[in-house]
Amino acid sequence: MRLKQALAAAFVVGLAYAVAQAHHAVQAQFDVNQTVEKKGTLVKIDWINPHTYMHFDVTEEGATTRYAIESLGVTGLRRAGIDSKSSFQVGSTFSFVINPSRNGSPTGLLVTLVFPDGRRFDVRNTDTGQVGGR
Amino acid sequence: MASSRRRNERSLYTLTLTAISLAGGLILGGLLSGTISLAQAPSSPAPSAPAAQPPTPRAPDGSPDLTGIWIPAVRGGGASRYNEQGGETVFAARDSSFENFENDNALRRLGDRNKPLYKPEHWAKVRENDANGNELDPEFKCRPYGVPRMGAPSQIVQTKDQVVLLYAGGFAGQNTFRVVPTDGRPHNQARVTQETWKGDPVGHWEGDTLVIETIGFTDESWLHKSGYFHGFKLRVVERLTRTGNTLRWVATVEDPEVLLEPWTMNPVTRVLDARPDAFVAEDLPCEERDLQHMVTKVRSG
Repeated sequence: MRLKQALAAAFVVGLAYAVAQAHHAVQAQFDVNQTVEKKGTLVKIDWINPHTYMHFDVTEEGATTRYAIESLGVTGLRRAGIDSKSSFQVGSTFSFVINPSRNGSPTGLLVTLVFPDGRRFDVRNTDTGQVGGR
Repeated sequence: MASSRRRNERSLYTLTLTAISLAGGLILGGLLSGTISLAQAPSSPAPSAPAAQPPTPRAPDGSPDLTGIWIPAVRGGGASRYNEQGGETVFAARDSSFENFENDNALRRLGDRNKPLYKPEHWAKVRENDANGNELDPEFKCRPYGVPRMGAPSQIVQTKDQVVLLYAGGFAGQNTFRVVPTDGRPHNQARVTQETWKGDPVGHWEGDTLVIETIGFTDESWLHKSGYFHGFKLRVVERLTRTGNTLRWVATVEDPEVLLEPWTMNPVTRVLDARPDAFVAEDLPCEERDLQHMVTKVRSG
């Protein structure tokens, strides 16, 4: 399976710590105990707070669904080295691992993003740099 | 004190993990540098709080010069680790799961013994706010943090008669500013009556500490994520103390209408970012899109 090959080939991002105080508990919205792997064409990215969104067209069994994938806030992405819209090529095919929505909507929380060339971005091993709890 | 002990424990923990994450960040930067530019430009390592502080810079009038970019001394808070054997992310929670990572962080937040003491008739509203925070918390709706929830400034520009405080960051944070006169003038009553999120500040020096008193607030902002609301009579006293290249911020809030006594919030320490290419990043627009998909009221830490 291409995704697994990509995951195996990709160098895992080093140890880091994740955010403790988040904007909200993502488990209210996503099933954090489940992961789903998808492959889709990047349609657009919304560079907004409190979370960025990546929109993918995913074609499965002949039907195309647009997924809105929630990721870190802009601060977190900046700290991870992703700080501009040119970081992603719209129209390229990405594989991604998400925690699926709990209400059945085509949304998800990004766990891992695999770039077209196999590079891997592990969100949960990324220092988001947020100091929350205020 | 329990709170200082907790802070010490947290500092040790996060210091260790910060060192680990710096290594991770460098690896990631190298991996992605082909098509992705590195974070926030500066190539030199971020400063940390050294044990011995250099002399505190002074303004011509002898007061400490607070001018500079001030960044968190400790970033983030909790912890995850990557288990190289199993390829699983291990979270600092009772069972290493992400679910309880969130739950435990919420418990830590609620377990903070430094709470404002509300009059008995107001506790129900605090509980209501906290229980329904996903809907009621101004932060969640991309509204301003306001004073004092916005915390310590990201940058300070100090002149003879005024101190300009610049703010950035946070989940819903939008770049904002405060201009604090330090020439001894009283509050501007026209401004006080506008009842805003940032109020009307005036500042003065007490020894080496800049003391900012702010009144004239709206009652829409919260003091803290845990549902701590306030009324129009809120008065906030912030103390900013520079020692060498560290800045300590602490705020005390008074609201005789709803609080039994003044509440001193947990202090914040920031460190000077002296890198010549350091800058305060622009906050992007905030849009809330989560609430419509939420199926529980669970909140985070």
